[in-house]
Amino acid sequence: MNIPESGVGIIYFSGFETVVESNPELIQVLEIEPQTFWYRSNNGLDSFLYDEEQVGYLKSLNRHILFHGVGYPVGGLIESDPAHLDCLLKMQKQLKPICMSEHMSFNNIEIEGKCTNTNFLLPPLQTREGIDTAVRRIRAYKEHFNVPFSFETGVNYLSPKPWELSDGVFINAIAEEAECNILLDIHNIMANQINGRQNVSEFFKQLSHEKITEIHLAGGFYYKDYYLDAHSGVSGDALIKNFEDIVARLPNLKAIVFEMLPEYLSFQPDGAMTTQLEKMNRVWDRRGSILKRNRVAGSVKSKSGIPATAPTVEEWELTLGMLAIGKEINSPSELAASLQQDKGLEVIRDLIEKFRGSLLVSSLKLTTRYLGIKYGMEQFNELLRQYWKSYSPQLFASDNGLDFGHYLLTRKEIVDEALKDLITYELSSIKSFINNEKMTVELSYHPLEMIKCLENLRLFDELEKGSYAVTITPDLKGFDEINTVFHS
Amino acid sequence: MKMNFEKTKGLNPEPIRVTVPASVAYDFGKLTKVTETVLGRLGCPACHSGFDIRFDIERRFVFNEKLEMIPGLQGLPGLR
Repeated sequence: MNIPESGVGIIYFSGFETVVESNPELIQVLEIEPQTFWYRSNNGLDSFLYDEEQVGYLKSLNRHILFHGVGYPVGGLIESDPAHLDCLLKMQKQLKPICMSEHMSFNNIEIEGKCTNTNFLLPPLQTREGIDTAVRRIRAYKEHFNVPFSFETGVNYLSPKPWELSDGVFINAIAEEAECNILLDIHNIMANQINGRQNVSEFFKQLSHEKITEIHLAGGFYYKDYYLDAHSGVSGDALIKNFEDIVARLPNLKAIVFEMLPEYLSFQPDGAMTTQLEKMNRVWDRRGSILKRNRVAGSVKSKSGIPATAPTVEEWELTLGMLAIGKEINSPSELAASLQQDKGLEVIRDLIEKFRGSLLVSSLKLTTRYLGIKYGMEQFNELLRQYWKSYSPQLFASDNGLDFGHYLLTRKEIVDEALKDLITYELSSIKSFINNEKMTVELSYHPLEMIKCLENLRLFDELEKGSYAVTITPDLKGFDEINTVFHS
Repeated sequence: MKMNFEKTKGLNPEPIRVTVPASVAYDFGKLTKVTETVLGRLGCPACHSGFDIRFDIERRFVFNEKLEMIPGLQGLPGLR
């Protein structure tokens, strides 16, 4: 299957409309993370619906579309829940992507027989068994799609382990054996180099260059002396230099895509996105200009040269996954001890905590602000840590919000009457939004007055209590006006 | 966004009936500038490999008594 040469683009999220529309010549391709446009279906089955309005908008832009999956990486032992495939294929039918990619990571572990999400893309085990695992997963997954498949080279904050294959050898062997393409994320491999893993040029030399069909670029920053793949801004000069050198050597490149999270978009200086896109276009025009054949056989012989101390994939995923999400390990092992000494693990844990906290302040905005105002953010943080000890992460943002709301209702010593109202109101709003159905709750405070107080960082001391029967309607689109009507 | 308020009859004490779109709860906090993406994320798989700023923005916002959004965010990781 051939991929058309598409050019330069961005990962499109809701909120990037102005960027796309104000740079029509500089953006020739749009990549989407399809799952970010999904909602749970309320048909009682574990299935999903996509946002038709967003899909309609993307179709109207008349650009090549690339799909970059999130939530269902291909580097781990546990197979992704196939329930997502139906929605993904329906979306593919609508948007006709020219190719499909996923992450070379894992995000599921099995704890006491229950599949648990880590909320974080964790690095796979880089051994012969790790290659076999990823190859098996990719071969099975790509069969579902009628478009070329690639996997992204991931970021890894852990230090190199003595029994590991080098990053480049591991990636190349998977691509060769699984007969798929490579999405080379230059920001990820540069972060890996800065954080003590393989050098970018050495990594690049270990890859078959014709396997690389797509490049990702991004920006990041330092945190606890680690350079993070934060997708927080435009790319720095060092990354652009590596990018130029690499692109000139790629004979089969089809697209270059810039990634930035929507949370950071508002904070970019004027013109920063346009400058980034101009640089990418200049480099795109020089793609393959220094062609030197670099086909690297993906031969990594079974168990060759790998010390016997290497863990199994199962041991690696369970140990790293448990430690990353802060679960106690009952039977300490050499691997657990080694990972606990790795400063990269601390960074991963922090990132997971920040992500899980972000999910909660976004999905339970009112409740979490009330807690922050009443108890202070440090105590709120401590409360979150207590919660995370007893509740596992969920794959869907809304489920994390629902879990936290229900947990709070069990903490009677924390939850006063006003907070109980607020939690009840907000849990019902989530359910109404997700299930697309009306919910009615009885409250002692008017919801709009509660919201007004919290916007001004006040609790509800000045509010008059009353008796309200609040019906929450699944109005998803009416953000533009508030029309209040009193009936006598 | 339509909200209806209606005093009901025949109940003692009479509750005030309020109709609120689910979106109201998520429209809150416009000052933080990051809320426009929330609805699009509520239903989607929660997976990440970077640094999610939303928790730190909320923390800084609650601390900042003057509600000055931009100055309040200076010094946060990744924001210049």
